[in-house]
Amino acid sequence: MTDHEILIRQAVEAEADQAPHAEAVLSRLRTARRKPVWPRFAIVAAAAAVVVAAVVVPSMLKDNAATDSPIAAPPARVDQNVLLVGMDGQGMADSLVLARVRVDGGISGVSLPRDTVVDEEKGWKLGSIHGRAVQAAEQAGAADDAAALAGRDALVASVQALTGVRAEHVAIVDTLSFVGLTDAVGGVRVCLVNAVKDKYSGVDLPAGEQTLSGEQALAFLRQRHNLPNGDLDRIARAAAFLGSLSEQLQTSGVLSDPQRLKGFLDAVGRAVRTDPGWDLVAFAATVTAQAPMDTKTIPYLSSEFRTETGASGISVDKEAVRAFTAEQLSGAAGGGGGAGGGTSTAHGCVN
Amino acid sequence: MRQSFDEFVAERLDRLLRYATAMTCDRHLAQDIVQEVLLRVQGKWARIDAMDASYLYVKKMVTNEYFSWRRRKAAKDISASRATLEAMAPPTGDFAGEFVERDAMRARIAGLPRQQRAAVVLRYYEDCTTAQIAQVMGCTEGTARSHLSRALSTLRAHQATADARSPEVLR
Repeated sequence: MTDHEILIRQAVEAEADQAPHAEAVLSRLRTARRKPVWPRFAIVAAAAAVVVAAVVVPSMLKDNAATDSPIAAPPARVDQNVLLVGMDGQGMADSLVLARVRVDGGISGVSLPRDTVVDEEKGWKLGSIHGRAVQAAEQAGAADDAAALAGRDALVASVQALTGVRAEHVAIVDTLSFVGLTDAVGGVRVCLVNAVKDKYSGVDLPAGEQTLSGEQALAFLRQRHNLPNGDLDRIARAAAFLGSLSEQLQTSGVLSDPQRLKGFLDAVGRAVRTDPGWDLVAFAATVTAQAPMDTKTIPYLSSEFRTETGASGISVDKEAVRAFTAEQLSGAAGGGGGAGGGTSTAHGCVN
Repeated sequence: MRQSFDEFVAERLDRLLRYATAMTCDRHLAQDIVQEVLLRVQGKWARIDAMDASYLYVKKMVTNEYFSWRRRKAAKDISASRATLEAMAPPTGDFAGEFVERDAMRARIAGLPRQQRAAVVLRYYEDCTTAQIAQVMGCTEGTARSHLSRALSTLRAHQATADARSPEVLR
């Protein structure tokens, strides 16, 4: 260590000595109302679940086929109802899509807003059902696994009561996992029309082509303020991001490098939790990559509904929701409805 | 070795605050950032606790939080704290010489661009390897190395100027 470096060390140490007392942070940690960490992801996380299932996994399969790895048995050819859940870091469901994967490979889904009031008496919303059940189970002394199952079952029951459809399988995507997925493929390329900066999401990116790191990708996908076309821009971003992610996977050599493939598989494993009886790989094989997912939001009565506890939520007419769900999931709902899952801009630049 | 969030905080909070303060050169900003990050960490503790290097990960979150902090605010704060530091710099006698030199270095470090300053603090305060610096900063090792070497040469150049001037300043 040179004198110069010793001086630097002393200077940094002196700066660190200015640190605030820990108690200041501790007290605010204890009292601060915990605000939602990830703003609503809407369908982004659910779209990711589908992409992981529909795009990423088949591309691994395809590549593995060349190396004689064992491949899952051909899946049963029956329609499957699956519940795709985007979960924030605190066990709250941010986005829920009930999807039917039909034998013809098509997918259609209904998007269930997390603020949908499912128990008017208690003022419970759909997004909190999973977390409540997990907590209740934990307080009753259940182990982690059992508590997670309780959460899942409660959510499935709640969705069934709402839509009349029972999901046979559940996939939960943790939104934090985008970091790992992105880093595992060495970053994801996107193109921005304008430079963006937003304090809520922490996004701060220049205009033009660029490669996002995991953390940047999260911010890029999270931004919901200051977008010219609001949610539509966010959906376009998700589509561009996910398209690029799967392309990156094909071209970056991840699939042919055992070390990196392992890293990626680990990231996928962390990204998506499914119920034990569901073979995601087999499921993915039933999804044709070209099949566009047609998703529509359930009809609602009021988005200004007040629960008895005073929180605002979305109120629905269950009969109407059930009829809508039945028609939409049958795939007969006129397909090209427009503002559905993603008007992908493929390789174009996004806002 | 799994631990509870509270244990983690008890063990690491001081260190995190010192790291953040050294990196931001602003104790208030450091407090805000650490607090913001710990609130997030609290929400997903089970996942972070399961990692091999949870402290490193949290440190990465703190660093990122700083990098993405509103630039205008941070720039203002740093120039303000640098002015404060420079006001401290005039020598008060031979005795103070050593501290003068050190505080002048503090001011120069405070004047570095954010990324370079983070690299310096990671190396000389947290004793990170280049690989760890890259991991925490979310960049390649090459970039980390370049941040560090640019910072060092800036600091050295300034010091050379300061040394050249010092006889008349001190006497």
